[in-house]
Amino acid sequence: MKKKIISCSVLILLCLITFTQGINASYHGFAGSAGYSYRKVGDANPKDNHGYLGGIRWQSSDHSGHKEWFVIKNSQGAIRSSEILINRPSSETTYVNVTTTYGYYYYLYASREHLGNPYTYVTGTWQP
Amino acid sequence: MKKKKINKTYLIIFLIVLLIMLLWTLNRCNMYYIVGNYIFDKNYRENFGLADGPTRLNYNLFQLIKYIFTGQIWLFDYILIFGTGLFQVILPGIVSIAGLNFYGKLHTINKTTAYRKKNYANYIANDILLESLKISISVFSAYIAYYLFALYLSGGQLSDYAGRELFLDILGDDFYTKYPYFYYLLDGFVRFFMIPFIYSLYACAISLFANGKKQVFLASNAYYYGLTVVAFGLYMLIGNNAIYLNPTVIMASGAYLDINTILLMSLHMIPIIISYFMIKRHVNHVEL
Repeated sequence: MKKKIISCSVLILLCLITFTQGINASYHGFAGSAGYSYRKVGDANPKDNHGYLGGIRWQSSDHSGHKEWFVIKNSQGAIRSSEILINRPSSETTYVNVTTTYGYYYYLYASREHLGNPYTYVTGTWQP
Repeated sequence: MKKKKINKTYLIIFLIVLLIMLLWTLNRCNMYYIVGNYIFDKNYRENFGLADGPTRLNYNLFQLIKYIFTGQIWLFDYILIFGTGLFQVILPGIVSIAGLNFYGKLHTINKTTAYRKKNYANYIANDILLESLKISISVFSAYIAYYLFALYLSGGQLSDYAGRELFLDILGDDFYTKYPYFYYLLDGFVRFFMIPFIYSLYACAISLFANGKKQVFLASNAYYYGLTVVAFGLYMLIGNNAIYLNPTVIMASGAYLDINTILLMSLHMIPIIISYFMIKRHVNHVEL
């Protein structure tokens, strides 16, 4: 019985490690000030899968009660995802349709719909 | 001859508003950045296409525009939201043309016509209402044309997440998800008919007291822009509650969560009240 519990625990632990490593491998941190016009908040990150969905987790903002738009662009400024509106910071992933290519580098941009507060500092994680 | 000239003004307003919406749409898809770099930056041009593909793309200008246009995923709501985004700043400036028009009428040939009318108060009030109505119809028509353009370009495709806020506290939380296309007509009616009407009316009322067109233009915009600057400052101090003191918020209300529609609109009732008292004071003090 004791053996079974130990092997089960090891198995669960291994699964957890594999799972979290998988997330860390794909998602990269972003942080930056967003204004009305799109501003770069996420540095160049490589597309490491062949999927058609990117993901954004907008986790914090220095202001409350506002929404934030995000978009992914290539290094030459061409838009490579749908524009996506996220209502509030959270740890949940918002998936976005992308036309990014495996092996190439992309940037995350953020924008406010209203000019009310010129710059909002946002942080989170994302994958192209 | 005079009538033709005035009608031309409304047509020009319609075209300017529509053109700004279309040009702003191109700005949001980064058209100007890419085309500008492609034309003026040799290094950018020579490496174009290598950002996410193995092939260098050697396009002429037409092909380049097509490439940018087709690379974008066009969504109906996104086009409407951002194509009209600049108007949160420039709309009152545009509609203050109503005040300039009215000032011109009041101080030229119509002045004698106006004073000959039996009921001067009614004449002035009707003329101001008519002028404001014409301006707001021009602006709203441009919005409708743009709405149809957005519908055509996107095929009516909506984004998965872009929720709106205005009216939901009155019409119910699911109003937007149930009737998104109608929602944007209603939202457009507020932003491109109601707001232009209010600020045209205000500009016309100011023209009754102004000494010169310059004064009409500056004074009619002082409320909207002055209060916006104050509200920016307050936003930094007291946070989100300051949005109800900011007249530009109604033009981009989807940027915030849980908007109180009545409170947001009440700020724009103040110019109507001021206009009412200005018109009343003017007609009471005119010697016929």
